[in-house]
This record gives sequence, structure tokens and C-alpha cells, in this order.
Amino acid sequence: MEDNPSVSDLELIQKSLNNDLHAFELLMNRHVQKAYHIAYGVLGDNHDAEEVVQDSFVRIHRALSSFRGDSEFSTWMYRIVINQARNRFRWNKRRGQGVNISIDDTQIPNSSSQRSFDLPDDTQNPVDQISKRELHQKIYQEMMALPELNREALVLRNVHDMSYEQIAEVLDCKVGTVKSRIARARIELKKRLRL
Amino acid sequence: MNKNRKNDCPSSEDLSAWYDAGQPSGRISVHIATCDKCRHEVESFASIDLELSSFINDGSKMRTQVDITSESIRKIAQEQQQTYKKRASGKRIYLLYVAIFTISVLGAVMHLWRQHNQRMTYQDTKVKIAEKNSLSKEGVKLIAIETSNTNGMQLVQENKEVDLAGITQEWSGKDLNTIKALLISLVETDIRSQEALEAIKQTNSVTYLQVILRLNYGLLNQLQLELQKQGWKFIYSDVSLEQIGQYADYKENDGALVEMRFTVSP
Repeated sequence: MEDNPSVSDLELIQKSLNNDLHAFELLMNRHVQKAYHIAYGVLGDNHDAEEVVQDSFVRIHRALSSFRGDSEFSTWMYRIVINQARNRFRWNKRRGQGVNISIDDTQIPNSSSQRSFDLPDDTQNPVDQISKRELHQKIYQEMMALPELNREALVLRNVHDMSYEQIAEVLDCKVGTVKSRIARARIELKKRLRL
Repeated sequence: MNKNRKNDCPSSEDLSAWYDAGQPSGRISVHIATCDKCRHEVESFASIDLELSSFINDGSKMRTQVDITSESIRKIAQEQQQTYKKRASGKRIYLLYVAIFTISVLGAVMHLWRQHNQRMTYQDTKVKIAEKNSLSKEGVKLIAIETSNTNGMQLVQENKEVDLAGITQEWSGKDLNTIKALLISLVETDIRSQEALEAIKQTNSVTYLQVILRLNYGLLNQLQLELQKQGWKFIYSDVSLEQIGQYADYKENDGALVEMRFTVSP
């Protein structure tokens, strides 16, 4: 069944609550990319991000009946995703993980295959590719070194241009707090990346 | 051209928010147009955002959304299946609990029933023992009388059954000496120790009576009240007087007998 944009999230939620798993799948498909980017931004690891998103979806399905509709579904959902990502980040930190970036873990986009392998990228020359990887590695390191709350605010801001109000709802804090967290994260990154 | 005056520069927080707000016109816009430092700071924010977006969008090699959601749906379906199984096993456990509970309740009822029967049996046994060892029917047995002129308790009668028919009625309203006389008359015909009987008759001063009675509760209660009315004190009783009083009300007519040993003193 194709996703019909005229069907609202709330309608899909209602169907999901009536045990319609396909409706839930459509609902998740609408938000999966954003959820994934949030998780990746916080964790910096494809595998972890994927697991976090999947776990979040399972949790969302379990807790769907508790969604009261006070806020946008997406806001409620991203709150769950970011909490899951935060937990994973802390868990990784305790285990001494989360310092390796999986830039080489390239997978075929739009493919159901889970196998990963490198694909020649003819849009960039090898030097550009290497410098880009190095830059990403550097950004990853500095991002992970940022205070957790500041990093989360900046990630949410950079994922599909979420507004300060939306970010405040997801992080359950005031808009003023979001403003200062984002600014602090930027200033810190600017200093660290010597921009 | 740098016309920056440091004190007029907006804070980095304001610059960041201004940048995120889509650079609307206003005081900060006017300021940035003339301040290289602030403009540079905003540009650095833009660079950071660009790099970060590139990091998130290019670095994240997401499997197709279909794959991720399908995997999640598979997990959910698996979880649901497990939940159904748990529910089913939960139902079985629930039924087991119900069975255990029912058995426990039945056991408790049976236990109470047995206890009740045991009590009855105990009472019956007591009566049976009494029948065997002392009195086989409603009656009174005076086993010892202590008088002022004898040293200590004196056995006046053994294994003697006395018909008590009408005895409590006879006692009613009688004074101590009359009751004493009645008690003496009860045992007189069978008394073995004529000396003891003579002593009782002569002294006319009974100090203790040790008696076994086998009566129904009603009569026993009546006797107890009568003795108390006469000023006799129960020094010892193997059945509590309160219990006799309680049982008397509803046991009176069912003919249940109780054996009571007591010592009374005028």
C-alpha cells in the first residue's frame, strides 16, 4: 500500500492502535529519515543509529496509546528517538566505545541488502574524498566532545531545520535554553575546528 | 572597513539565534552590515552548520527507510507474538492460581470444619470419658468436703452417682446450711466413711466443697448463679464460668452435657 499524503499522522495512529501494523509502517516511513539523522547526529555511528531508530519504533508502537496528541506526533516521536540515542551514547561511553566513525561503512542506498562495500564515487576526486573523510572524522570527534545537551540541540537544529520551539518541545526545556545551548555548541565547535 | 564598536556587538547567543531565524531585518541586521567581527562569527556559524549537515547527511549511510521500518515491524510482530504467548501462558498461570486459590479455600474450609468437629468431638470425648470414669448421666458427685474439725480435705465419696433431678430447684433460694444439708443428703446414703459424714454433721461448718457435676449448660449455669448468690466463691473451676454462662443460652435445650470440676467455698 502506497503512502497517501492526504491521510494524516493521526489517522495512521488510530489505525495502528487498531492493530494495523501496515498503517504503523507507513507512519514510521514518513519519519524514519529524520529520526535516523537525529540518531546519527547524536551517535555518529550508522549501526548504532539504525539500532536506536529501530528500538525507538518498537517503543513508539508500545507507547502509541499514551500519545495524547498534545504536541505534533513527530515531536513526540523525536523525543523518544533522542532519549534512546542519549541512552545509547552513555552506554557506549561507559563501555569505552563510540570513538570510531564508520565512514567506510558505505552501503547501497535504496537497497534492502545489509552488506556494505565501497562504491566508486565519480563525483569527487580521491583527494577530495580523503579530505572530506578527514573533515568528517574531525567533526565527529569534536561533536562527540561537546556537552551532551548542547550537541543534541545543535543536531536537532541541523536536522531538517527544526525550529527552536520544536527543539524545546523535544528536549523538554525552554526556548531560551535551546537558544543558549545551540550558541554554546557552535562557539565551542568553531573554536575546536578553528573556523 | 570595520566600524565595530565592541560594546554594541550583540552576544554570540543573539547572533546564533538571529542566524537561525533566517536573518530577519532589525537591529542585528543593521549591526552586522557594519561589523566585520560579527559578520565573521555568523559566517562561521554557517560553516559549522554546513559541515554538520554534510556530516549528518553524507556520513550517515542509512539503509533504505523501508529496511529500517521493516526491521522494526518484524521486531514488533515478534514482540506481539511473544506477548500473545505470554498472555496465553499468563492465562494458564492465572488458571493455576485460581485452582491453587480454590484448593486453599477448600482446604481452609475443611480445616475449619474439622476443627469445629474436633471441638465437638473433644466435647463429646470429654463427655464419653466422663461417662466412663465418673458420671454417666446428669448428676452431681461430691468428692470431698473439708470441714473445720478435719485436717484437710476428706474424701467422702468415690464413684458415686447421684441423680440430680430437681436438685437445682431445691437449692434455689436456700441458705448455705440448707444447701450443705442437701449436699450431705445426696451423699449420705452411699457414704462409706460414716466418720466423715458424722464430722460434717457435727461441725456444721463446711469450708470447701469439691464437686464434679455433669449437667447441661443451662442447669450448670443455674447452679453456678445460685451458689454465687449464696455467697459461695469459686476457688477452682475447670470450665470457665463465663463460658458456662455463654453456652447456657443456646445449649440449654439441646441436651449437651458438660462435666465441671469445681471447688467452692462459702
